[in-house]
Amino acid sequence: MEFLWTIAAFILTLMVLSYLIGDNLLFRLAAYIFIGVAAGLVAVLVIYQAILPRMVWPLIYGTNQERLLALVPTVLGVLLLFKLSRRLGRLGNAPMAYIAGAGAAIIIGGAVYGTIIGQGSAAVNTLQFAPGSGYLGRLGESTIILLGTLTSLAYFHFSTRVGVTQPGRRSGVMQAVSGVGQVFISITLGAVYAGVLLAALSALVERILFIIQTVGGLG
Amino acid sequence: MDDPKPVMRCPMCGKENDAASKRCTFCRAVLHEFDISDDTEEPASSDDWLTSLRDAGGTAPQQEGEVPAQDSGQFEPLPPENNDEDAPDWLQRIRQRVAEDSAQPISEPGTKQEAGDEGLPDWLQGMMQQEGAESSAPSATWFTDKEQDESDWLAQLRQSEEIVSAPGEEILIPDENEAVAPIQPDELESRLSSLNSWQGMAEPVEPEAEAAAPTAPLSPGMVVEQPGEAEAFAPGGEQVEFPLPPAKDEEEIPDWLKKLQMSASPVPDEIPEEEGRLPDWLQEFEAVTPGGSQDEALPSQLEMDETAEAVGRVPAFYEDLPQIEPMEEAAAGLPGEQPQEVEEPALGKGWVFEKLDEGEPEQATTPPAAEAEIPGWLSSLNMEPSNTSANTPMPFNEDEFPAWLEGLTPDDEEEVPAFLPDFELDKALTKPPADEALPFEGSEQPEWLEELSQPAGVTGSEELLSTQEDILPAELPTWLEAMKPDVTQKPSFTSQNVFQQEGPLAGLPEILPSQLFKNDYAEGFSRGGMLKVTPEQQSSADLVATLLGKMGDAAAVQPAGRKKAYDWLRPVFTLLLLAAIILPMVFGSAGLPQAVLSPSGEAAYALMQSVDTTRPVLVAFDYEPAYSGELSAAGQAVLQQLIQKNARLAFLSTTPVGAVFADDMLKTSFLAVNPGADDTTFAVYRTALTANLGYLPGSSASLQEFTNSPQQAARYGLNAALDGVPTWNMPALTGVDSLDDFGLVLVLTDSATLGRTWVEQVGPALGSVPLVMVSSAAAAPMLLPYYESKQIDGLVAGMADGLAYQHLSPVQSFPAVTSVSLKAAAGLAALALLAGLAVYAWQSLRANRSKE
Repeated sequence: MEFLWTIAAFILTLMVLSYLIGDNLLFRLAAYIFIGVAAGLVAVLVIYQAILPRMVWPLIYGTNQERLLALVPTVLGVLLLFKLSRRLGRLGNAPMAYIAGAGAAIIIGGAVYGTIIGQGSAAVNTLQFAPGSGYLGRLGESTIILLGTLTSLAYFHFSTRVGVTQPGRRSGVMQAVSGVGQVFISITLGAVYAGVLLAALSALVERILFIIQTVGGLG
Repeated sequence: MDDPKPVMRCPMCGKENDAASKRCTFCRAVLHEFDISDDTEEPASSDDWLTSLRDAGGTAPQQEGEVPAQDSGQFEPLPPENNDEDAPDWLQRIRQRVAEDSAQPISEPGTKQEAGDEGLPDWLQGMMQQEGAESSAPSATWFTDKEQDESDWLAQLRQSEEIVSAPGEEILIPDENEAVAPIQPDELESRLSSLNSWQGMAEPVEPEAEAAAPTAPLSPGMVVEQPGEAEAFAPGGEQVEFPLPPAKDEEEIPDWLKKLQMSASPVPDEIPEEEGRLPDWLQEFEAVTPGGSQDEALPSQLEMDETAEAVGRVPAFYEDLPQIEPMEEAAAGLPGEQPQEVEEPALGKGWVFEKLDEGEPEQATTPPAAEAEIPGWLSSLNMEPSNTSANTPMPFNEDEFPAWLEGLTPDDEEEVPAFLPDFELDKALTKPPADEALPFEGSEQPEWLEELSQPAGVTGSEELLSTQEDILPAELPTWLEAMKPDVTQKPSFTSQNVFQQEGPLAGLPEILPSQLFKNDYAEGFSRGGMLKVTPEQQSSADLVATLLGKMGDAAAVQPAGRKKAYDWLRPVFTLLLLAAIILPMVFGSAGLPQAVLSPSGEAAYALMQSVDTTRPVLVAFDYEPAYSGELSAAGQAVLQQLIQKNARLAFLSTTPVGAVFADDMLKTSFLAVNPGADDTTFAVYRTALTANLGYLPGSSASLQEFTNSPQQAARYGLNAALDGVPTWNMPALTGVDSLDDFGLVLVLTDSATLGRTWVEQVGPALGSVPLVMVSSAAAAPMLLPYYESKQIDGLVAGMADGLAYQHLSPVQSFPAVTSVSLKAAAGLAALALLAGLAVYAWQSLRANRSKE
C-alpha cells in the first residue's frame, strides 16, 4: 500500500512539474485532482470535526444544558444558510453580524495586547542596553530599528495643510522622513518576497529529492 | 287656510316640502318618486319592480303580483331552446327572477299575495286575487307561466289569437265577491286620462274624447263588449268591461299575451285598456324615444293625472313636445303637426330586427346546420318573411310602425344612421358569398360562422387577399402622419459591398456602420430645460474635452505573434534551476559549507532540549498542503527531537487538514527515530504518548476559547468520532486542565497571520510556558519581530533552518546535500533576479538616452 501511494505521489509530482514546459493537460489534470481531493477532505473533516460533534451530537445525546447551548449555533447556522437566497438573505444578517462583531472584538483585543503594546515595548527596549562590548553595534542596531519604525510610521501619515491656491502637500521634513520609511518598507516587502520565493524553492527541492529517492528506490 | 298644508318630507335631505312640489326646494331632489306618504296605490309601483330588474337584479324580493300584464307584453318571449348566454342581460335577470319565484312554493297564494300586494295598485291586486281564487297556480305572473309552459309559448300565442279574434265574445271580470279590489272611479279616470294623453301623443286630441273620458261610467264589474277595448275608450261613454279570460284555457295566458292578441285584432287604431297602465318608465320611454330630449324630467303618473283635464288629457310633459319632437317631424320641418297615425310602441328587440330582415328578405339564407347554433334572438333575424309572419305573432302590422321606429328600417335609406350601412347586419348574420372575404379567419371566428365558411372552400386569407385591392387607404391625421417614418426614402447603401474599416470587425463584409443610418432617420427629441453647471464642473468638463481632443487615433495593433521575445528564457532558466538542484544531489556536497542555524533556531533547539517531559507538549499544525514539503523538512527535525525525548504530544490545528498532517508527520518522524518499528509499535506509541485534539474551528475565536478552557474548546478529538474514546481521557493529556499545564507550545505554520494570532491570543496566557514556532520562509520575516520582542521563544524559519536544525540532531531525515541544493537554487534565483533587474535598468537607461 505504501508503495502504491509512493507511485501515485511520484506520478502526480511529475504531472505538476510538467508545467515547466508550459500549460498542458497533465498539469491541469493534476490540479483538478488536488482541488477535488482537498475539497472532499475538508468537507469530511468539517463534518466529523465540527458539525457532528459540536452541533448534532449535543442535540441528540447531550444534557438539557448542552442541548440548549448547541441550539444557539444551530439556529445561527441555519439562519446563515439563508444568505444563499437573495430574497431571504436578510435572515442571515444576524449571524453574520455576530460573527463579524465577535471576531473583530477578539482580533482587536489580541492585536492591542499582542502586537501594538508588545512590539512598541520591544522597540523601546532596544534602547536599553548596558555599555560594554559591542556597544556601538547594538547602538547602531537599535538606531536602525528606531529609525525604521519611525520612518515607516511617518510614511503612512497623510495629513497635510491645505493651501489657498495650491493643493495640499506634505511638508519637506515629512516628505524626507516618509522617503526613508519607504526604503524600510521596500526592504521588508523584499524580504517577504524572498521568503516566498525561498519557500517555493524549498518545495521544489523537496519534490526533486522525492523523485530522486523514488527513482533510486525503484532502481 | 285652516287646513294644514300637505307636506312631504324629502327623502334626501329630510326637510319638509309642499306636497304639490315636484322637487325639494332645499336639495332639488325629486319628491314624488320616493313619495311614501301618498295614499294612492298606483304609484307604488309599477316601476319599482322594473327598476329592480334593471338594477343588479336578484337582491330585491320579487313579488308575484307585481308584474303587470301589459308590461309583460313588451318582452319578446324566447323559445326554451335559447341559450341564456345569448340572451340579453335584462332577460337573463328576468329568467333568474322567474327561476327564483318558481322555486318558491306557490300553493300559498294568500300569504304571498298579501305580502306582494302591498305595492300593487288596487286594480292589479283585484286581478291577482281573483285569479288566485280561481286557480291554485298564480297565473298573474307570466314569468311563472313562462317557466312552466315555455316550450309551447307559441301554441299559447296562437291559441290566444284565436280566442281574441272571436268578435263579440264577452269577457267577464270577477266581481267584488271574488275578492277583486274595487277600482275607484277617480282613480280609473286618472289612469284613463293618462292613457289618453299617451294616445294624444300620436294622434290629434279629439274634443269628444276630452269630454267623454272623465264621465265614463266606470265601475268594477262593468262589461265591455268585444272588441271592446276600443269601444271602452271610445267617445260616448259606452260600458266598458275589462278584458279577462273567458275560458279556462285562457287563464294560463299571461296578460302580455293578451295584449298581443289585442294588437293582432282587426282594430289597430284603438289603444288597449292595459296601455293606460303602462309604468312610468315605459311612458317616459315612449315619450322620449320619438326624438325628444331626455334631459327634461318627465312628469310622474300623478302629475299626468292632475294635468290631464287642464290640457285636454294631454299630460304636462307633452306640452314640452316642441323640444321632443318625433323624428319625422324634425326631418320634415313641421314642428307643429302631430303624426297622423297611432303606432303602437313595440319595444321588442327581435321585432325590430325582424323588420330589418323584411327589408332584405333574400339574404336570409342561413343553412339549417348553422341555424341550430345561432341564438334564438339571432335566428329570428334570419327567418324568412313568410316564416316570420306565420310563426311569430306580430304585435302590429308593418304599416303600424311608430314614427321613431320607421327610422330604423332599412327601407328608408335616408333615415338609417350612418353606421348602419357600414355594419350591414343582415350580411354579417347570413352566409357570405364565396367570393366575399370574411372579416376574420381561422380560429378567430365563431363556430357557427366557421361552419358557414367551410362549404365555400375558400380560406379567409385568400378572400382577404382578393379584396385588398378594394380597400382604400385610410387617411391618417396630420399628427400621426408626422410620426410616420419616411419609408419612401430608401437607404443609400447596400450591405453586400460594405466592409468594416476599423475596430475588431475590420475587414468583415456586410457590416453596417452606424454612420450610414444617421441620415435616414430624424433625430430624437431634444430635452428641454437648462442643465445647471457649476464653474468647477465646467472646468472639469473642459479638461476632459481637452484630454479627449489630444487623443489621437488608435494605433494599429500588431497581431500577436506566435512566439514572444523572451520565450527562450523560461526553458533555459528551468534547466539551470534543475541543474542547480540536482547536481549537488548527484555529485554530493563534499567540501561545501553546511547550513548554519539561525539564532532563533538555536533558541528553539535549546528549548526543545530542555523541555519538561513530565508535561505534554502542544504541537499545532496550522499550514496548508502547499507548504507541507517545506514545513515537513523543518518540522520533522523538531518533532523527532521531542519523540526522542519520549515527550507526550498533543496535536491541534486551526486548519481542517492540519490534524491529518499531524498524524502523517508523527508517523514519519517516529519511523525515522525508530527505524525498526512497525505500524503496531507506532500505534502503541500514538495511543500512549500522543493525542490528536483535531480541528479547532473558529480561528482566533477558537484559540481564545482554547486559551481559557482547553477541554471545552477541543473536547472532540480527531478520532473520537471513530473510536469513541474521549480525547481528554487519553494518557497524553493526563493532568492537563489549562494552558499552563503544557510544558511547551510548538506551532508549525506557513502564515504570518496564523503565527501572529497564536502570539496575540495564546501567548499572553502562556505565562512561563515557552512558545516556539516552525514557520515557512515566507512567514519568517513577519514573525521574526515577535522573536526579537521575546513574544516567541524560538523560531525555525523555513527549510534552511530546518535542515540546519536537523544537523544538530542525531536523526537525519533529509540528506545534508539538500541544503546545498536549496542554496544553489536560491542563489540561481537571486542571480536571475539581479540579471532581470540589470536588463530592466539598462533598457530604461537606453530609453532615456534615446529621448534625450
